[in-house]
Amino acid sequence: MDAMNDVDAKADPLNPPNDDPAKSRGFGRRMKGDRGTPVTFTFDGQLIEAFEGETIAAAVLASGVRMLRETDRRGEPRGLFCNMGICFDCLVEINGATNQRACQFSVADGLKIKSQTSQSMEPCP
Amino acid sequence: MMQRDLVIVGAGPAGMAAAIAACRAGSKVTLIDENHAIGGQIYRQSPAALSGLSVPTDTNAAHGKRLIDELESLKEQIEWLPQTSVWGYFPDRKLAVRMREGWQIITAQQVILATGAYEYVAPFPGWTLPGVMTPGGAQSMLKGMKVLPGNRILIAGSGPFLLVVAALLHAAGGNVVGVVETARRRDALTHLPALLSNPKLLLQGRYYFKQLRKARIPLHWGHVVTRADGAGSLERVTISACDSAGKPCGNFSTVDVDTLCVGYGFIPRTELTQMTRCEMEYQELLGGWIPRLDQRLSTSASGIRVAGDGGGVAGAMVAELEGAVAGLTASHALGDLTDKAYKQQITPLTRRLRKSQTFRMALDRIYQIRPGLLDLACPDTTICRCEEISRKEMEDGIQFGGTNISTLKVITRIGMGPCQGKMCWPTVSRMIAKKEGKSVAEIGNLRVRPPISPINMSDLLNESFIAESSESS
Repeated sequence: MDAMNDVDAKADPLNPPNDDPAKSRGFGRRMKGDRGTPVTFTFDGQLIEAFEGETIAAAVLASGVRMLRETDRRGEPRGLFCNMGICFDCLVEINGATNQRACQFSVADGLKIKSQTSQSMEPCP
Repeated sequence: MMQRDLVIVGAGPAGMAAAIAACRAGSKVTLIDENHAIGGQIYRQSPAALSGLSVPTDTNAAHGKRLIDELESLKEQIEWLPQTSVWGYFPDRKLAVRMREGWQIITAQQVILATGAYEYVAPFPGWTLPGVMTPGGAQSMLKGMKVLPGNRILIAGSGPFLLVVAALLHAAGGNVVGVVETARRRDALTHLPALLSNPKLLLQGRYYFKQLRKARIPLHWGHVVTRADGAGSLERVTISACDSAGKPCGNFSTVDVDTLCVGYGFIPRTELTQMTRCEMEYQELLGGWIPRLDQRLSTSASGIRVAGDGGGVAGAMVAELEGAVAGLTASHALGDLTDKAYKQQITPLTRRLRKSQTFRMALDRIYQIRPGLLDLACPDTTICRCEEISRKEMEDGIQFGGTNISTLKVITRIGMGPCQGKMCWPTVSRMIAKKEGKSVAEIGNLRVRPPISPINMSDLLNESFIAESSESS
C-alpha cells in the first residue's frame, strides 16, 4: 500500500508535487482557460473572486476553503459532500437566508455568504 | 392549474430518451428538471457562462452529446421547464412543482418518472470531514463547474464508476494516488463469462483499467477505507485489506490525501414514485426499494411509469433504452401512436433490454454492498449526518424499541433532517435488520410526505401566485 504514497507525481506538469503541507491543503483548482465574467462576493467577510455560472460551492472550494459550516450539536466541520443537492451538508447563509445549499446556488456580484455555526441557529423571535 | 398530456420528471438519459421517443411519436411533452440544462448527472452540462472551457471527458461523453443534441433539435416542440423541482405528488397525477417564479400544480394524463439515483456511502470514522465527498460529486464539480475538487485524491468504494472518476480527475491534472475497491479481483473473474455477454461495455471497462495503469494509479482490489482524519478537513486516510464480506482484516496503512471520493454504488431516487402509492419492492442488487414494474415500465399506479436508475440501478445505457420504452408506451396510451407503430418500435427496444440483463446482473453481483461495511462505523461515528446521531445513539434507540423508521425517528431523530433520511436510511435499515435478524425488506422503507424538496413557506403562501393558478384552471 505504500506504493500510493510513492506515486511519482512529477510526471504530471499540471500538478507538481507539493511539499509544503499548508499549501498542499489548498484544494480545489479552476481549470485553466477563459472563464468569462468575473464576480465577487464575500464568505464570512472575506472577499472571494469567482466567475459567472459557478456555484457557491465551486467558487468557495476554488478559493481554497473547505469548511462550509459547523454543525449544531457537536460543532463538527462540514463541507461539500454529494454536490447534487441531496445531502444538505453544504448549507450556508445567503444574504440572510439560512440553510441554503451552496452546491445549488449560483454566485452573483455582492452576495453575502456566511458559514453557519452552532450559535447561528437562533430560535425564531 | 396546468393540464398536460405527458409530464416527464428528470432530464438525464432516461428522461431525455423518453422525451425524444414521445415527441417523435407526436405527443405533447413537458420535461422537468432541477438543473439549468438537460443531461442529468452523468451527461451534466456546464452553465452557458462556463461552457467555453474545455475539460477532459469520459468515454460516454460523446454518446451523451448526441443524445443532448437530438433532444435540443426537438426543443421547439416540447415544453422544457429547467430549474424546476417537483415537491409533491397528489392523487390522479397532480404534480406540485416549484419554478423560479413560484409554484404550480400540473395535472398530467401520463407521467414518466426518470428521477435517477444518488450514491451510497457506508459510514466510517471521519466520513463527515470536509474533503470527503462522493465520486459523483467530484465528477460533476469537474464536468459542470470545471473545478478540480482537490490535489491529492484517493478514490474508494465499489463499482466501475470509481475507475471512470479516477481517470477523469487524473486527466484533469489531479494527483490520483489510488483506487480502493472493496470487491476482490477474483469476484470480478468469477463473473467474467457473464460480462462477455456485452463485449462493448466490457471493452470500455478494459479501457479504464488501461488508463489507470498508464497513469500509474494503483488499483487495490479487496481493500476498504476504514477511517479519515484531519484537523478541520481531510489530511489522511486509513486503508485495510478486507474479506469477502467487506470486513477489514488487517494490513492497515495510511495515505496522505486532501480529498477522498468514496461511494459504494447507487440508490434509486424514489420519493416521488413512492408518493404515487404504487407497489414497491426491495431488491438489494438493484439498489434497494424500487417500484414494481411491468415489461413496459408501468407501475401499479395508473398512468405512472418509471424509467432509468430510479426504477432499479442499471446505468446510463439501460436508462436510455427504458426511457424510450416508457416514452413510446405513454404515447401509445395517449392515443398518439397506433398499435401497429407502437409494436414495431417497441419490440427491438425490449429485446435489447432483455439482452442487457446478463451483464447488468454480473456487475451488480461483483460490486454488491457487502455486509461488513456496516461495521466500519465505530460507536461514536455519525450515522445520520443531518441530526448528528451516532451509531451508539442509534443502537440504543433500536434497543429501546425503534425497530422501524417511525419509532426510531421519534426516539433518536434519525432521518428527520433536511435530507429526509436519504443518506442514512439505507444504512440504518440494514443495521436494524441485522440486529433483529430480519430481512431489510421486512424493516420497511421511509415514509415520504410532501414537500420532498425545500420550498419556503412564504412561497407556498404566495397569494398572487395561487390566485393566478386557480384563475387559469
